[in-house]
Amino acid sequence: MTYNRNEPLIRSHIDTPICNRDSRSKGLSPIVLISRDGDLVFKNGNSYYINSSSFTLKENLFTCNGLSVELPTHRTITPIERLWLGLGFSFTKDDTAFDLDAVDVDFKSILHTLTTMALKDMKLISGNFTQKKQQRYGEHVFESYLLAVTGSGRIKARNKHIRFLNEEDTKQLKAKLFTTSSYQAGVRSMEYTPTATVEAIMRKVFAFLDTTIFKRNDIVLQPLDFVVTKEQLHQIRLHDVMLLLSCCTGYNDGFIIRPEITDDQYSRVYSVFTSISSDTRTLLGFKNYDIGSALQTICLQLVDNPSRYPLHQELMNDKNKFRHKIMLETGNDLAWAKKEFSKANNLDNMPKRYKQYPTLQAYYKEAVLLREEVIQGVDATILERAELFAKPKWRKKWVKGKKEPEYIVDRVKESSLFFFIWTQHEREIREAMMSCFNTPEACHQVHDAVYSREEVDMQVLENAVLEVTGFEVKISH
Amino acid sequence: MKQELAMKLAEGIHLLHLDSNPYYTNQQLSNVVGVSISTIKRNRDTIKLLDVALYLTETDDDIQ
Repeated sequence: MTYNRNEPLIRSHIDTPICNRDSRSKGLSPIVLISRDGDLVFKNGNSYYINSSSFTLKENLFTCNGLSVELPTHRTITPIERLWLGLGFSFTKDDTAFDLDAVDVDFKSILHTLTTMALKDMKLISGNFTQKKQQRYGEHVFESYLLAVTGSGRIKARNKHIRFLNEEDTKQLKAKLFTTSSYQAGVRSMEYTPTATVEAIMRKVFAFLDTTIFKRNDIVLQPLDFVVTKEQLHQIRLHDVMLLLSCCTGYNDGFIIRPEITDDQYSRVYSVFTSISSDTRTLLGFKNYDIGSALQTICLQLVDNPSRYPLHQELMNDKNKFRHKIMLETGNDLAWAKKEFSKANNLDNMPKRYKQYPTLQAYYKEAVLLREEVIQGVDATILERAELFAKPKWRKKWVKGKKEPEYIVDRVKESSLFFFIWTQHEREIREAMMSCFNTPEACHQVHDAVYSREEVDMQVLENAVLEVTGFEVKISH
Repeated sequence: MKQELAMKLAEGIHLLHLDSNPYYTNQQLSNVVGVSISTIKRNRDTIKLLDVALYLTETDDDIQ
């Protein structure tokens, strides 16, 4: 007998009784089922016959060729046993605790298995799929969730996890897990927003993980590593829990998180630490050292005549006062005002709604002038580096006989070019700040801030920045 | 076959059934039970009978 899963396997009771001469002569009842290998199973009293073999079954007592075995009682399998099973480990009845070694197994594979289990528990994938296919579902759903909660949530259509959900999703799972925004082929990818269903799956994944006992690993911690305990994870929002756990490399008092740094733009660096919320960073014991109004502070010191930009100056001098002014003028809340300032500096075209808000309109006009002046006066090396990463500007081109326009690259987006220029200076400032800490290599860079567990006087940082970079900045918590 | 091995095999097959997996391979059963593949192959006849017996004793509610 072979256990090849490619073989046709039918395991169901047969409705129509089939009897052959042999079975009749033995006084056997019709087939009770077809075995996994396609053999017919006959029954006579307590005895079962399969080809030349036979066994008896009295309640749970299996007897065959003088061997008697009490078959396992029907107990419910625990989540951790399923995890164990999913990972292909053996376990016996006598085991009381299942210690998992987070170093021996790729931690992500544990999360993938738990996602598979959660999907099965919620009856979102078919139990008839092979173990491997179920596992693949778990993997792709988990990875897609991570992408959806990172940054803007835009995922390229050619991403392998999304492709799996698009192409092999026979259960229409993607539609249940994510809502999607509009997209433009070759220009803008779809934005994925997790639904309540996928959040419930992730809560279940976390609940399963919570019941797991992990072995302690003697890992030598690297400077940027940090440890998150199970208690801390309970206080953190679910998105961040999953993002952090996806970077886990071992277990020692808590999960050891090793952020993988992406640093290829000469400007900002990205890691799991930049994706989690600032509340989570604080909860993990990190102190933030923020550059006050980074964009305005840097850019106004790059131009010849800062007095040409009074509104930017006003925002830089007292951010809160200026924001309140806008809130009063527009009748919107603080979050709206914050977003609009960021947009004004990062958009190529002015949003139409600014026409009804004179201050915002004036601010946008200033922002455009400031952008032009900064780009014109920039150092050649910085400009060259910025051009490498600036996003392209797309232009519609109508072709005769075609209903849809074609999109062609015109030149780089000015706002994007501007972003990659001033963020290179922002990086210089961050590096100057980090040099003031006892262990600069343990500092986490997050855009316009540096996070560290050390306490350093703000004045010391400001002086160091002025001395090293020539920028006069205000640093605050 | 030893009684002890038969017990382990029955437990392993049962767990694979609980895991809604009628398509398990020799390798999967060997992983779950913690014995070598050659042991699985050597005892294939008993395994087949145990598989059927377990299937007969399990109700649909047990298979999740």
